[in-house]
Formats: sequence, C-alpha cells, structure tokens
Amino acid sequence: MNIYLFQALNGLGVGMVYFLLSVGLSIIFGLLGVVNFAHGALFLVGAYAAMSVGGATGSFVAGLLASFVVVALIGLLGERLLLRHTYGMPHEAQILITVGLAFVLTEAVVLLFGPEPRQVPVPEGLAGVLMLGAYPVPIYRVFVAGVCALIGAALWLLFERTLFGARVRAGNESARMLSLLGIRVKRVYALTFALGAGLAGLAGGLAAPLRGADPAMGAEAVVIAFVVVVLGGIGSFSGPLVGGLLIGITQSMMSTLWPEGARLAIFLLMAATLLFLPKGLFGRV
Amino acid sequence: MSDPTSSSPTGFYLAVACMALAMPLLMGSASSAAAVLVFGIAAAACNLLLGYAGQLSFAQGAFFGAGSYGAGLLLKAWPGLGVAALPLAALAGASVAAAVGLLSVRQRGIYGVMITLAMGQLAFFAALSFPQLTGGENGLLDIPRPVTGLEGWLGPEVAHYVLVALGFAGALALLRRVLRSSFGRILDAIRENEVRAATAGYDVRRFKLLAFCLSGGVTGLAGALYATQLRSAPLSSIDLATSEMILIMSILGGRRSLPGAVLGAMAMTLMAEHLSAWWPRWQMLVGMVLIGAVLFAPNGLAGLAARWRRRLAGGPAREALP
Repeated sequence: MNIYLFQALNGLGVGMVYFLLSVGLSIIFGLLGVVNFAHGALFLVGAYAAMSVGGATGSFVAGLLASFVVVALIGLLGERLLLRHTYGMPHEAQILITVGLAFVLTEAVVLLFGPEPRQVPVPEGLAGVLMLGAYPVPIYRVFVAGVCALIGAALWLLFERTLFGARVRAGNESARMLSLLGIRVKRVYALTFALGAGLAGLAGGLAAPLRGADPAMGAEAVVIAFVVVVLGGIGSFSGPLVGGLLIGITQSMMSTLWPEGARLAIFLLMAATLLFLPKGLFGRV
Repeated sequence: MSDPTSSSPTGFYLAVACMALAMPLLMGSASSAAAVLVFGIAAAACNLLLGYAGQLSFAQGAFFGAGSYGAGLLLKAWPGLGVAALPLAALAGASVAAAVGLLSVRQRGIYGVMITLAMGQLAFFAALSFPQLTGGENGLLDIPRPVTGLEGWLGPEVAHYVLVALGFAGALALLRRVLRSSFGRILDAIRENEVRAATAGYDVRRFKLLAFCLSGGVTGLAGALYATQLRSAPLSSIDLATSEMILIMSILGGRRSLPGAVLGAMAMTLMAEHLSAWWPRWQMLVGMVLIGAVLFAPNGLAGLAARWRRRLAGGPAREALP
C-alpha cells in the first residue's frame, strides 16, 4: 500500500467529520435562509461539552450525547430569543446576529474553561491502531468515520421518509404555503435550527479526541464548513457529503506533498470550482 | 437619516478636519488616534459596500491585509518609494477585491456572503503559506516609514500622524464624491431593488464589482497606513477577525454615514483599549453590542444621533426614508 492511498483513506475520515460539521449549516440555510456564522462556535461548544460531561461521568457516550443535546438547546434558545425577531429584516441582519452569537459563545467557553488547549482522551476500547500494510490507522478514526456515515444515513431517512422531513422540504420550497396548510412553520424552523446546531455540536464532540479542544477551533471550523458548503453547493444533501470528502482528501494528500500549503490548497480547490461552477458541485440555489 | 449625500459639503469637510485634529486629544496619544483614523477609513470603505451597494463582505480584512503586506514589501524593497507606496498598496487591495468580487457578485443574495468569507481566508492562508515572502506567523517586520519631510520639524510620530490624517481626509473625500455621483445613486438603486435596476438597463454585476474594487482600494490604503504606523504588517491584519472588526465598526457607527464609520472605529478602539484592561473577555460585550445594534439600532450610532436630533427638534421620531 502506498503513502498516497493511505493519506486518501485518512482524508476520508477527516472528510466525514467535515460532512457532519457542514450538513447542519446546509440544512439551516436550506430552510431558514440563514447563513449561520455561529456554526463554528457551536462546534466549539460541542467539543467542550463532550469533554466535560465525558470527563465527569466517565462515559464517552454520555459526552457525545451531551455535545448534541447542549448545543441543540443553545440553538433552540438562539432561534427563539434572537433569530426569530429578524426574519422580517434584511438577510444580513440574521448573519450579524449569528456573528454576535459566535463572539458570545466563544468568549463564554474561554470564561468557563480558560484559553489553554486541552487534551481530550480517546475512549478506552477505541484507543488502539489497526495495521493497514505498513501504516497504522487509529481505531478511533475508523469509528468516527463510521458514526458520521450512520448519522448521515439517519439524516437521509429523516428528511426523505418522515413527516418532519417532508415539512422541512416543503418549507424549502415555500414556507408561506406550508403555513397556509395549517402547519406551525415557526416550530419547524426552531426544530430545524436546533437540529443543525446539534449536528455541529456532535461533530465537535467527535472531533475533540482527534485534535484536542481549544478556543480557536470554532473560527477554524466555521471557515471549513463554509468552504465545504460553497464547494459542494448549498441546498442539497449530496453537496456537504461530496464537498466534505473532497476537502478532507485534498487536505490530507497535500499535507504529504506541500505541508505549508495544505490549507491553502483547499481554498484554491474551492476557488477553481467556483470559477467553472458558480453554484458549486451540486448547488441548486 | 444622516447621509453624506444630504449634508452640506462644508459641514462634511469641517467634520472630517475636526475629527483628524481632535482625535489625538480624544484618544490621548498619536498612535491610538492614528489607529482610529486608519480603521475609520476601512469602516467607511465598508460602508460603501454594505450601506450603499448592499453587499455584506467578510473579506475586508483580506483587502486591508493586502494593503499592509503590499506597502510593507514595497517599502522594504525600495525605501525610496516613500509616499508613492500608498497608492500602490491601494491597488493591491483593489486587485484582491476584484478577485473576491468576481466570484461573489455572480451569486444572488447571501450565498455570495459565504464566498467573501471563504475567499478572504484564501488570502490569509496564502500569506501563511509563503513565509519566505510574508514572514509567515510573525508577519512582515521592520517596515521603514515613508519619508514625508516633516520629521525634522514635527518629530517622527506627529509627522506620521499628519500622513495618516491626510490619507484619512483624502479617502473620506473620495468616498463622499463617489457616493454623491450617479454611480452612488445606481448602487442605491441596485440595493433597493436589483431586478428593477437591471430592467432599467444597468449591468448590476459590473456595478457591484466596481463597488468591491473601490472599497478594496480604500481599505488597502487603510491597511498600508496601518503597516507604516506599526512599522510591521502582522499576520492578524489579514485575518477574519480584522474583517469582523471592520464590519462591526461600520454597523455600530451607521452603515450609511461616513462620519458614523469613524465614530464606530473610535468606539471599538476605545473598547479594545479600555475594556480589555478591565476584563479580558471584553469581546463577549462586542458580540452583545452587535446583536443589540442589529435588533434595536440598524442605523448605528449615526442613526441614533439623528433620531435624538429630530426628537429634540420636535419632529417625527420615525426616521425618514433616505
């Protein structure tokens, strides 16, 4: 097995986390038309929630659940208390509200946990490595990729096979029509925002043992999520998946070929794609 | 609404001159005052894009940083360039803005906003990826200041402040002229109703792209003055945080008022200087102030001031349409 194939596989794992991080951004944009600039901060809160609850209870699963639930609740509150008042305003009002929310959440995390980076232990039982030829693959990475794939499948079922999913998709087409049919659109909005937020939190919880937890990870994550969604195309489910995988694989391959430029490469990939496909790979907007 | 197109030219230029002269007294030092004027330029350039063209851009830091690095590289290579490095740095800012605008104005609505952020970060990582040229994480150090000829008479700090103040007055005068021209009116029309402007025969994308280039050029000038003030171009000058700061200054001051932008820059600089000493997590307050401004004062400090003026004059409390 050669190093590039190995790096591509590694990138697949990173890419699945990127998918989970960005799918919530795409879902929120699709229904609410809100570009959630707080998405990275929600990822950050998820990582710290998983770290502290996982540490206090000694259960990794409890930590993961907390990362989803805590962040989904923050999303629910944020939608109810702030965003809901801006739906009649110009679009940039919602963006600026989420930017403000990102400042508040990031500073709150520093206030509670301090500015130093923290190590987050890999759960016991997932700590070893698998040997793939001459290359060691940490089991936890394989686990994360598997969990992300499962959640992706569950989301697909939720949106394609349930009444809630049908309402969200109908709301994408026309929120006004949905409300004329007697459906409480506001509730669908709030739940969708909470779900999208929770997914970002869960991505943070899963990523914490891979990269540790530090207050700067939110700003990093929101940029990655934007690049994934812009590359993949917004308003579709395949966009974040293919975009996430492409970004993950590119970043991983380039870190062997040109380490200083690995980050630059993903932005160049995005810019080149936009030049030829202004709506991204699967964009419908 | 306080709008640079409705105030008298004498009043406007008087206000600009007073700000430039009084800022060192208000801020307590030439360097803080220079920072306010530099960010005042950047926030006013952001107003052109946000308040007039209706384009929310998270790439202002990239234009600012392009100006900082551009001026730094030029002055380090040819210190004899002097003040001529400033317009060249503005050109660098305008070029980066052209690249960002080219990709983002093709999109309708807020999708383009995400592209400005992603492209802005491209500039950040470009600066980080070529450390031989840009100094990487350390930024570009030991940038010589352009010689103005006033150093012997006023001392280096005041002489440089005069340069910054002249750049500030020039940039604000330029922006006012642009906004008063038919070009500014067309930007208004596009912001109010894009379809109607297009039906009237205006090439909407071209005008938006021009607005990006102009805003990028003026922001680049601000970045250049920032670098010569600090004698270095820090990596943070091209960061997303700089974009957000400029944007918040513009919104806080009032997105449709050029003097308001300077007020926004002053408010943020004061907060950064005084609150940060009192409470390291002061940016949490910045976030809250931003949320409050969006919900309760969409026209910023300038809008609040106008509302109070009307209330004192006994006029209607509601803001008139521009």
